[in-house]
Amino acid sequence: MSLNEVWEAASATPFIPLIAKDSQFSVGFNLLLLALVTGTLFGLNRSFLGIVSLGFPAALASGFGAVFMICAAGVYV
Amino acid sequence: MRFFTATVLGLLAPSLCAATNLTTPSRLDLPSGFKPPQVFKNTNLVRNTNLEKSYVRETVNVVVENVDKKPQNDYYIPFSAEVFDRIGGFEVRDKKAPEKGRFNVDYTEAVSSDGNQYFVIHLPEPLAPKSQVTLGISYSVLSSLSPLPATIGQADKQYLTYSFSAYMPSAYTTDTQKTKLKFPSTNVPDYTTTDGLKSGSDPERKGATYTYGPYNTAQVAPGTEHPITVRYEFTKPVITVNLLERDLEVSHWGGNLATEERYWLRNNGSELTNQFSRVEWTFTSYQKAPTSAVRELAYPLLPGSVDPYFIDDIGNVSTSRYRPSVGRSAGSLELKPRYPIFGGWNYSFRIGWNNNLASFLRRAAGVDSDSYVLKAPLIEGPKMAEGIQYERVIVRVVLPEGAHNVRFEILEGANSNGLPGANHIHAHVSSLKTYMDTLGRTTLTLEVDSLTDEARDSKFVVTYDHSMIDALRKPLTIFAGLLTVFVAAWGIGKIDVSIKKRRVQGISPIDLYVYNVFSFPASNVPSKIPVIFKSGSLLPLNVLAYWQSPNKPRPPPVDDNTTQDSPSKVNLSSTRNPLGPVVVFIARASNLTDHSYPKATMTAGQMHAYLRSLLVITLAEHRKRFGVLGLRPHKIQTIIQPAQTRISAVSRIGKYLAMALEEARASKTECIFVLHGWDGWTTDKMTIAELCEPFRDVPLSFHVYANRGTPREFFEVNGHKVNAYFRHTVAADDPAIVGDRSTALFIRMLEVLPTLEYAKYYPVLSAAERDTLAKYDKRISGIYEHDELEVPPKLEDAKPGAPRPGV
Repeated sequence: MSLNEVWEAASATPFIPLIAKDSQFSVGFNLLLLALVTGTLFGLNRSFLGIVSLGFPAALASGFGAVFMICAAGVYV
Repeated sequence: MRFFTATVLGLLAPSLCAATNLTTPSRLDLPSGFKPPQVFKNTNLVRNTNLEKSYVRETVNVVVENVDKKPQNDYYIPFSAEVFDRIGGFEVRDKKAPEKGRFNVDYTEAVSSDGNQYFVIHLPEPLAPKSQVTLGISYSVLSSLSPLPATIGQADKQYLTYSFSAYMPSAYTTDTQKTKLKFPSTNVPDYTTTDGLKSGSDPERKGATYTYGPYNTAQVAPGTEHPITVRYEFTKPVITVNLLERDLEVSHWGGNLATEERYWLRNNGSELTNQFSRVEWTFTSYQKAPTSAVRELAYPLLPGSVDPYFIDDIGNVSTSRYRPSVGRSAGSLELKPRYPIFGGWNYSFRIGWNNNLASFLRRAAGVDSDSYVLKAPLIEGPKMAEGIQYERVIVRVVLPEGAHNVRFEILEGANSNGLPGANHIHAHVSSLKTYMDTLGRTTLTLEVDSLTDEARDSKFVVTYDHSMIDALRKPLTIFAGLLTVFVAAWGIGKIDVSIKKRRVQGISPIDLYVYNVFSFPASNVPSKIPVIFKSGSLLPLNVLAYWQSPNKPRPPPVDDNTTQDSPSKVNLSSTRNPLGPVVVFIARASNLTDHSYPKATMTAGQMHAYLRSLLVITLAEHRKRFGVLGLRPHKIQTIIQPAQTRISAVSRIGKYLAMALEEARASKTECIFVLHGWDGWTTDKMTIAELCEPFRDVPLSFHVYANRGTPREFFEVNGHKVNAYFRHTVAADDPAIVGDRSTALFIRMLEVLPTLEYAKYYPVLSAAERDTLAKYDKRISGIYEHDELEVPPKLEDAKPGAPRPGV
């Protein structure tokens, strides 16, 4: 099976990104804002419970937010 | 962070080199003196040479017959070594069945005997004896056109020359052959006319088409040449791209296919005779007259292309125009270089744009497939009527980070795609690190030499695997990094770096200073101590246990359990603090004239200094009497305040004293206020109450350095008993008071002091009042003189002439 045939066979499944280009900025911005707020709250009261309840979601939101924001800025990673 | 992620996530990283169909072009080595076996004969050969563009495009149709007795399948086509490397897009098909695809072709190294290099065409099926096959051979010859004259004026016409042999280079005998030349115009001022090769005129001209032949060459030995040169008008640029680097960057997160192309471009046409004239150029441009310079490059872009940019070595080039695509029509990027590119001039620039990835990428069919298929143009490039030749093209397909199992394929159609065979495209996979990458993005690099814009429509297909873990690598890297920062912030915050606790293990510099300033009689100092003092070095820990003067045992805690006024039992029963008690030396002056120098006037600062000098004496005497009370630095408090006035608990002095008591409480030790004179401490009862009440659990004693004559001596007073007396919780005749003579004396002094003060400030009293006061005063004096509990000094112990202790 040539690769061109693989391409033709996959005609029903075009690649759909997780977040469309038009929504990248809003999603990235909101995630980074959430990360900033939760990260700041964690910084005000650094405790182990704070890591679980605030630090973890802050880091997670920051990770995805940064990726979407850099995409929104035109650097497609 | 990069190290961390590379370590952790690297465990999940697949091998980049899992691609299976990568190729590295190789050339066959032929033995010296090699001659292709004469197993074929060219029955008929027609060569079409197209000179309409700035490179030579040849299409050769040849009927080949096997004249051997065995089936043959290797057909050799020779070229001289200097031409061979400039041949691009070499392709051979069956002319009668082009849809069957191209034949496999091998390249050879130069044969040393005749300098020829060969294309070896492998027929898909061996050609039977006496059978024929019609081969359709097509290729381009780059950089084979030379301008004549080599230099022209700015607006002059440009002419190119092309030299070739009337006989097609062949390894086999050819029965008949002819060559058709297609010129861009009918303006062909010079061309070679042959004589004797054929009957009639040669070439035959028909418009812009010139035909050399047909020649009957059955008797002509293979390799025979008959040079022909043509010179024709070509007032267009000879655009040559020395190097084209094309990047296609696939972003799953962004849903984007970013394309960037970097061109190193040169015009190989006639150079300018004179200096460039901007005025003449403007005039030519206005007339839109033909020119040998590159005025503009038209670059069609695929539908959906957005965000184009055009940058050269200086920066953004604003003289460009983008006409976006509407619907399914192609967009058009019109690039006007910063200057017209005349013959011999170079220009390098960079262009780029974005496309939606959905048009180019599909997920391979299959449930939960991690396989993706990418189909994109291999080369796009400007679309110019005069054509463009590319000497070297490097296409990089930058796949997402973690992509593996990369395979590629060049699409072939019924017609030539302008590319060499797949086995002559150098392909390799590497890693490219750029923004937000930890391991680097998998990059498939395709390198091709000698291409023309015929390859514009060629496409390639790349398949690769990319799992969910690969996709999440970027956000998880940032997540892990930030979480590490949070955990580190929490962990570091848990470390106690306070100075207070560390001092338990050491000795304060103030104590060392006190040791050095107040020396002791040699007989009283343990043997180790003077050595340490003289050397001035820090005390080792094993001698840090504080030292007390011999024969002067440290006084027991003031709370001797005989009263209820100091209820701290817990503190006293627990381990004593090794730093010893908290000691505060206090001296007070009623006002700025309360000093021993009658005619002197002092400022507040001078008075404090004076009081401190008194305390230095007190401190030394206290050290003689009680020894060194631990290692805790002593505190000094000087007060300028009239007697009988309250020191508020919220004043600066009140807070300082409370802090001393707090320190004693925290250290589970006692607090000692050493007072210089009876008046050294404030004589206000309320002040004592405010200090004692919040610290009932802290043993508090006053060491009053005062005189009942001369010299001064220390009276040890239980602060809590004094407070209890004033708060009427203990009566004056209580055994706890009576038995503690110093405390009792202190209480009595405080009782009488107001009266004495009153008498001092109100001298106008009746005789009775003065007498009463005098009696009262005398009673106190009597106590001094007739204290029966005090053992009278034995006169015989006093040695005449011996120094008396104290000051």
